[in-house]
Amino acid sequence: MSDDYEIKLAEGRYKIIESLLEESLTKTKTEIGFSDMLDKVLLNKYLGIPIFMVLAWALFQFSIEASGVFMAIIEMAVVTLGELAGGLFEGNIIAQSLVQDGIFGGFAFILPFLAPIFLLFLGISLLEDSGYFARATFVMDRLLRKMGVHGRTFIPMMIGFGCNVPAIMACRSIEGEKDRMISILSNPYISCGARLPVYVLFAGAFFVGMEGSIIFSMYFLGIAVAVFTAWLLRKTLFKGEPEPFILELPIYRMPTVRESVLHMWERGVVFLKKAGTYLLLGAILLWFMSAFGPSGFLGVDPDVSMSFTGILGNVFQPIFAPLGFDWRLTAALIFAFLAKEIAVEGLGIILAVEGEVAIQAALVSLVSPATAIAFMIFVLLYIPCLATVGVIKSETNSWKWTLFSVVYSIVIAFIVALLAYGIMVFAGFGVIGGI
Amino acid sequence: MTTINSFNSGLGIYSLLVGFAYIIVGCAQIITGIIRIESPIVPGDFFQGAVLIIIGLVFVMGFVDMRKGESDWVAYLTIGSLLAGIIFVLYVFMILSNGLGWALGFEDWLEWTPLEQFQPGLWLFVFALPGIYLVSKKYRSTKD
Repeated sequence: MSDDYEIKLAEGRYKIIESLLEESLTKTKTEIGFSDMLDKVLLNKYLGIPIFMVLAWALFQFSIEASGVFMAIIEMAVVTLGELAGGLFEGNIIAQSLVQDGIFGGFAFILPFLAPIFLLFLGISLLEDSGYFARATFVMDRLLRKMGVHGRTFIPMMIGFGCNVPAIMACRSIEGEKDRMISILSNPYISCGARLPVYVLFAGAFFVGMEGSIIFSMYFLGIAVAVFTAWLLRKTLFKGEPEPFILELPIYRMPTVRESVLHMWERGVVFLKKAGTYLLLGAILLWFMSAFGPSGFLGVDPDVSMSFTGILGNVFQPIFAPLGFDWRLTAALIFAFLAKEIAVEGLGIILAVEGEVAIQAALVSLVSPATAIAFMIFVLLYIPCLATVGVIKSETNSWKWTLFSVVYSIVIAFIVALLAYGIMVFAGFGVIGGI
Repeated sequence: MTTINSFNSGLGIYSLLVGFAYIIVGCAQIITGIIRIESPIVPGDFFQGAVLIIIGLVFVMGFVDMRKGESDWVAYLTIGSLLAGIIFVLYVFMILSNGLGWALGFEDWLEWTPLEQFQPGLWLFVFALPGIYLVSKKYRSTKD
């Protein structure tokens, strides 16, 4: 009843505005304004969503394909610094291994990914500042509403491309408890920046020349699973109609370099802070678990299968065997629960190699493209990170829904990854090596 | 008035031709991608092909709208040109970035040549380029 009242009030306001404009505004000879002209096509019933897909594809191509050289420059700088720092501890094998392999080794795997992450955020900022993102929300609302999902859900989804934690917090703006819960529980499937290093690593190793398209399809799959989850929740646990959605579209404007770079920095600095805190702690934990085993310190260039990491990976590996994961991939997945980027660090330490190119070469000699796709999908869909679990708990104020979110995400990750693995094997991509 | 109408028709036919060029090349990219044919001019890629088809459809819709007598049909030509321009700029960035890797002598870029980035999205823009000039000309004539 209150919603009807609000809609009628909004309609009444717009009617008054229209009548005032008719009385006071003299229309010029120009048939159509620039903003209206753009909207005629960008909000088109049939072309709106495909155009959004084109822009999203261009965004991922830009961030992945144009960042390679900057990744190489960063990696070179970090490895050189690591060697210099390691040299300071010569004579103390454990301290040297901790500094060179654990801390700087970890940074060498993670910091190069600042390049694609910052370029992705720059692209998102340009689209946002131009006024297009509000249109994308409007266009997606048609599709979402058909599936019983509130149009505003798409706004946290967009924020989720950066980080799921603020995205889930942004669900507070959604009125109606059912719509808010659906938005919170479907948001973790939106691919955040932290998953990007994993995609870049695997797509670059196994799908040379198609990296951008493979990564784009991961992001698309994330949106599809989020929408499917929202639809499923609406049909089962949160039955009813979505609340009305009124959105005011800003006028288009040319984004300025200063503003877009500033917005890119605001988003990207979150990753930088993570690298200095969570990821550093994760790297030290990984180094400890991979350099030590039940028999103590395993020495320089240890046999990681004898370490605590090896034991952990081997214990859980049978669960992931249907996806083609060996103990190494399984161990990387377990550590990645802290933060998704740790999967890359973990693989570097477990495979005992330095740098992105060396990990890629090692991976290609160990697993098939089918397993690579299954791994990327699993990383995409299983619960993003510990911080996201925390924010789901605080936003839902319920351990029940938090547990539901964790279990559901693992189950759906397993099912989708298994399906993709099966299709890839059937298509002939089940043989070890790149395409 | 007749001049404006013939200009409109000419622009509409141009929009149709550019649209077909994008759609044909897009379909070719999808086909070469599926049957895995090595082609330097139209390298196989499903997503790139789909992107070109969508851009082509935007141009074609402009022609369809013009035939219906819609006064604002040129919006399609404008957005089509804008999307074609975005894809073109994307490939230019890729050439510049990889060119930097080659100039710095990095191992992975030693065998790189600009021809690797000679994608259809790059060279097709040559056909879409006059559209930007013609649209601005049409706007000027409408203002006059």
